[in-house]
Amino acid sequence: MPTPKGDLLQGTLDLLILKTVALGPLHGYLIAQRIRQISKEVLQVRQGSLYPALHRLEERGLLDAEWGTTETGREAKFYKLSRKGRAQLDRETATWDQMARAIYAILQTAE
Amino acid sequence: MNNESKLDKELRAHVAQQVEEYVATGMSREEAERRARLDFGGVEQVKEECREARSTAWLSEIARDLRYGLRTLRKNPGFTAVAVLSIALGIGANTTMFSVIDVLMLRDLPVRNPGQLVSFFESSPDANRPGEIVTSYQRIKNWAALTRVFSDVAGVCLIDRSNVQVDGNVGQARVALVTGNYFPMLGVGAFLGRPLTPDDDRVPGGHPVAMISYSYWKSSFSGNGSVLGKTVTLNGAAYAIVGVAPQSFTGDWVGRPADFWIPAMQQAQAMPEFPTALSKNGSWLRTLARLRPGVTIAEAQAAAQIVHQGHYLETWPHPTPQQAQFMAHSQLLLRSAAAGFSGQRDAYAQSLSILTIVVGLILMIACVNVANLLLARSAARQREMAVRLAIGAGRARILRQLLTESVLLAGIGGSVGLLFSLWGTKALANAVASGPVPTDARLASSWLSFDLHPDWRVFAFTAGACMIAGILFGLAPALRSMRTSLSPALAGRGAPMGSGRLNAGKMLAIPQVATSLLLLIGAGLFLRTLYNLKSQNLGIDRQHLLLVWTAPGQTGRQSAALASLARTVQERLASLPGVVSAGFANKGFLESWEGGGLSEFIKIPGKPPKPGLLMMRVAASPKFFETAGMPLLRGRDFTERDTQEAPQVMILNEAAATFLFGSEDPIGKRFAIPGDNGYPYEIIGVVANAKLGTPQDRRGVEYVPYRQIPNLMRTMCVEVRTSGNPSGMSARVREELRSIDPNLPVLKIDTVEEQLNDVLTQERLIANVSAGFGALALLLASLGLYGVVSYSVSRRTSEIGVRMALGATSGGVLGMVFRETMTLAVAGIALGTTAAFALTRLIASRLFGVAPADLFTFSAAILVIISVAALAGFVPARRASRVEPVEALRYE
Repeated sequence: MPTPKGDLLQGTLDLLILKTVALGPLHGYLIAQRIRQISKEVLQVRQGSLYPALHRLEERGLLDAEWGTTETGREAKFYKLSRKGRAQLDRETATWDQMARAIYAILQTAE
Repeated sequence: MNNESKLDKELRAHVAQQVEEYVATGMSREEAERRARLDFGGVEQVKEECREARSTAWLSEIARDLRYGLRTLRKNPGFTAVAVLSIALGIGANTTMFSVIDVLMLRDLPVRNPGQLVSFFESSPDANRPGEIVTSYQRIKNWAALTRVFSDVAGVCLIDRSNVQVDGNVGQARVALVTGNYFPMLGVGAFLGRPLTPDDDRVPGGHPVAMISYSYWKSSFSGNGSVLGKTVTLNGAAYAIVGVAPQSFTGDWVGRPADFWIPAMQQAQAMPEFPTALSKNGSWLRTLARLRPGVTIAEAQAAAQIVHQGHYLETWPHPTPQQAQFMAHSQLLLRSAAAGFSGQRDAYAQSLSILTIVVGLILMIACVNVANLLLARSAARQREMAVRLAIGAGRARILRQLLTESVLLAGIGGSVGLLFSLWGTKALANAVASGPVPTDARLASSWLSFDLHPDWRVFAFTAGACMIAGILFGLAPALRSMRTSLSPALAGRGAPMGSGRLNAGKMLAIPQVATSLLLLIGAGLFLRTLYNLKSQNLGIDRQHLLLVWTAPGQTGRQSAALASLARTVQERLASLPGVVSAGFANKGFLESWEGGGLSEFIKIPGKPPKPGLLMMRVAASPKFFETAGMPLLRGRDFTERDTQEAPQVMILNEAAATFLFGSEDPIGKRFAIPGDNGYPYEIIGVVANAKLGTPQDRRGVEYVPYRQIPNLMRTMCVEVRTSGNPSGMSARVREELRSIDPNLPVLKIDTVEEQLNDVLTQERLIANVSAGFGALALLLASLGLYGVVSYSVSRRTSEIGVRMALGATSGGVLGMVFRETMTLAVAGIALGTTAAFALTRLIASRLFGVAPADLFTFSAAILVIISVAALAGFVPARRASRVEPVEALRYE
């Protein structure tokens, strides 16, 4: 499995993508933009990681894809969350939450 | 639009969007494009990674699952070995058995519409099972005249010949004599040249043509395309080869492939030992008919029954009351010949069904074992699963992992099983390919030869069965454990979940013990039967005796010439150094065949016909009894003066003498069989019983001097008593026979023990296979028992620790755990014994000298199971008794 080459932890890019498209269908460019915006420019998603991840998620049935037109009239591939993807997002969010809490708890007590 | 251009378009759209954005911020278009491309990086590289993400997403996950599965299996070598061995045994044994059954019983002949073929059988009141009808050429034509029900009727006779020459090399071959319509009726053509046709079968002795089999063509003519027109020489007569049969067709007799086929009209030339076969009443052809489309077997049978009765009236125009009764009860039976004819099918059917049940039980034990192991392991892995769940692995992901492991296990087990079945089919084919040689060419030898290979369908089926068992038992507990909460499992307390599993494991151990007990009892009964048969008094002195099986009739000699050849053989062999004496008869010992005539047809002056004993006639030489070691109880032996000119004399065996004369002295009494004028025979002696057929032979025997009925000497078995090891003499004997007449075929030379082994082929097969499987079942069951108990001990370490801390002695703990094992064993034994009482009755007919509910066998088998169970239970019990309370509690 090709590993995302970004600064993100393995597995987190998938989670971020799922979360980003949860609101509605987006194309690749917008997904990258949205992640950067929401994370207040902290998380940079490189195209070299983004597109393989999108294709992998589509292949695994977590994302559905369809062709549509952008607001500038250009044809682009839009990704949206599948039912399976939504379930996966819920699970991963819960796990992440748990993990984050655990790490935070450790960081708190370690001192 | 294909995937590639879609991908291209998607990435272009991204860059274009970026360019627009840059332009909007006031950049020049050239600058914007440059920046956008720079931002994006290597387009081709991104494309490549996208392609990879698509294609390898699932492949790489499976590869990872497999790697992980293999690592898990490697980490538990004991578990893996037992599971793989169980699966392999189950698959191997079942594939082997069903391959044999398929070849022998189920597979259709490679002919046109095999479902329309029927063969002819006859059931008569004295025969315990219907025998195939062997009849004359003329009578086959009588059947064929029933054109309303049969579209064609053909005859075939299969003989083994050892004086067949191809290019000057003398060898053995199996020859089928067939009526001219045989190939057209079957719808079998030729691979090369043409098949035999009705035009090849018109004039007695006038058609020296042959069709050879594909494998004979390959082996004797190296598959040479110019074989047509070459000759094969049989009894000195050359037959021109007109065709090569298709590879798939080896004749209609399953297990006895023919090497070549010649027209039935060549009978006298091919079988000089039976010169009258083509006459009206010569019985030598097996009958094979094709039903008309739409005609049922029952309709054809009803029509043919009338002709069948007519044949009897022809033989007995003025039947005696007994003959009339026999005729009235004789019933013609037509049987489907779609799967071919096999004289051995009936004989082997029962053995094969017994072995099928045995392998079925093995498969059951194997599946239970795998299930048990997986149950135990999945419980042991609950913590691992909980950890993996906690760090975010999806449940489906874990299930797939477990599934992969089960499939992996089944795959490895299946591969080993395939090796087992390759080896097993070979061993089984070898085991059934030995057997006594019949002295009469028209009788079927009891051995089989076929190209046996594992059946893929059966392999797939059994592999599937094991895999499904693995998946069910591997996944069910995994699914259950996943629904439960994670925290207790993570905290190291698996016990609450373990208790349910433990019951399932225990429940499974009970039928395992029961089944292995059942197999052990069966094996014990068969082994005792084999032992009883082997140690049965054969009525002859087994030591230092060599049996030389030959067929003087195949040299073409008749009557007096046959007798003098036999006499020469006796004298020459007797004078060899190391030979004490020699004698001969037209029959040998332990020939397996146990036919004969009915005692009610025997006529004795002043006595009513007495039914109830099967009688056979044997032509014997002087010194035959002495050489074989059969004591002459009364009267005298034959001499060379008992010739055709001298008064006809007879020696009865003890069974016949007692049956016919009771306590009277039979010496000097007269004797006749149907067809005799008056009472031609005078009884001159009584000899002790000997086993001419099987070790269970109880027939009455009338011995006559060989010179008085010399034509019986077409077949011959010479008994040679040696001073030393008889086997050492066989080369010398063979050489001597060749120097007497190189055309005299030597069918076989063996000792009494070897002959006994051959005649007991089936009994040995059943006894050895069931003993082997019984031992394996015992091993598997004891491993299962050990696994269950030792697992339970490891789960209860803390409980045991508490008990010991509270004052339980180590002896007490040992007893507690040991009792647990024995409870399971006793439950299994109870179940197994009950089943055995019910089931062994079904094999009663295969047993000899031992009752189906034999107390000794049952007790011995139970004792073995108890000892093994005790051993399997003692090891974990001892481990439990050595638990250090402090350690155990700290573990908690």
